[in-house]
Amino acid sequence: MKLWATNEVRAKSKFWYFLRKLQKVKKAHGQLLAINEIFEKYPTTIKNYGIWVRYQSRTGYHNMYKEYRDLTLNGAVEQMYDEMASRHRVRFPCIQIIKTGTIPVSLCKRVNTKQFHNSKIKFPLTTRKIRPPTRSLKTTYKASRPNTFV
Amino acid sequence: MVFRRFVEIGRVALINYGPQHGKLVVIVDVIDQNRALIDSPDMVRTQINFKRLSLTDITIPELPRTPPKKVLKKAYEDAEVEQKWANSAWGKKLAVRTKRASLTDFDRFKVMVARVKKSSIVRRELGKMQTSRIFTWFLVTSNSVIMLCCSQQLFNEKQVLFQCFLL
Repeated sequence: MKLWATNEVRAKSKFWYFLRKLQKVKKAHGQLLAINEIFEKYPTTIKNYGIWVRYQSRTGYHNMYKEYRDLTLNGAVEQMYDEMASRHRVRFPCIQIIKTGTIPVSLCKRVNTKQFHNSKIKFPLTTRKIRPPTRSLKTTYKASRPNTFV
Repeated sequence: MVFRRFVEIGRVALINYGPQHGKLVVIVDVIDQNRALIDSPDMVRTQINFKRLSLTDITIPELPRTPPKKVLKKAYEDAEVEQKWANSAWGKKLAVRTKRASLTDFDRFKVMVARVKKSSIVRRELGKMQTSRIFTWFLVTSNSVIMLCCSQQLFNEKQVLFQCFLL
């Protein structure tokens, strides 16, 4: 079973939570054989991740399919949690990841990911916020107004 | 407002925030609207937010998407990115800034001595001039000082004559 948790303890707990939904076994009756952290095999290549999600909203349970472009699956899952929280106000405990997978370019559904499937991609950065290179150089007052053009 | 610098594969950018501040990198792919995959001959390929990048005018033309390191290194050298950067006004300004920041006390003393020497030469020339001046502009370039002076008398006659001294 693949699941996402911030630490091992939570991972084990979540394992039993999901296993109880699949089999009639509780932590008291079962034995956890192995727990391994899975690392990304190719963290320097960009992949299109599809994540199938079951979440609980204020009115019931819903399924969702979301796509993200990221280097790692963990990164995509993190994006998914952030997006669910911001767009649907769904918090971590109410989200269950049904399935994840890397989607080949031809099968991507969302326009937001498909727009980056362009080997000659080119766009300008329209507004720039100039900020000091370190937080220690931050000042409250500036002598002149900022110029946000490039 | 015409945009001249684009995020594209092969665009050279400067990292302007974070631990790798001041580093020149090449954009080798775009992850999404906020992040790019960057690479450089002496670093591991990573992602970075566009907010941390300042695009430069330098591009590596015809760079394939996410090239292998060997290809990138060769293209980086063929496009002479480092030389173009060192010759650019921006690159020169940054080089001066880093040099200034890295001066030791003795270096600063030497700079002070050189400055005093230069200003004394300028002032000596100023003193040598015969007519009284009221307007004097100093144009200081990297290796010379151009002094533009206008005499009192001529200014009164509404004829402004500029005596130009190249020191």
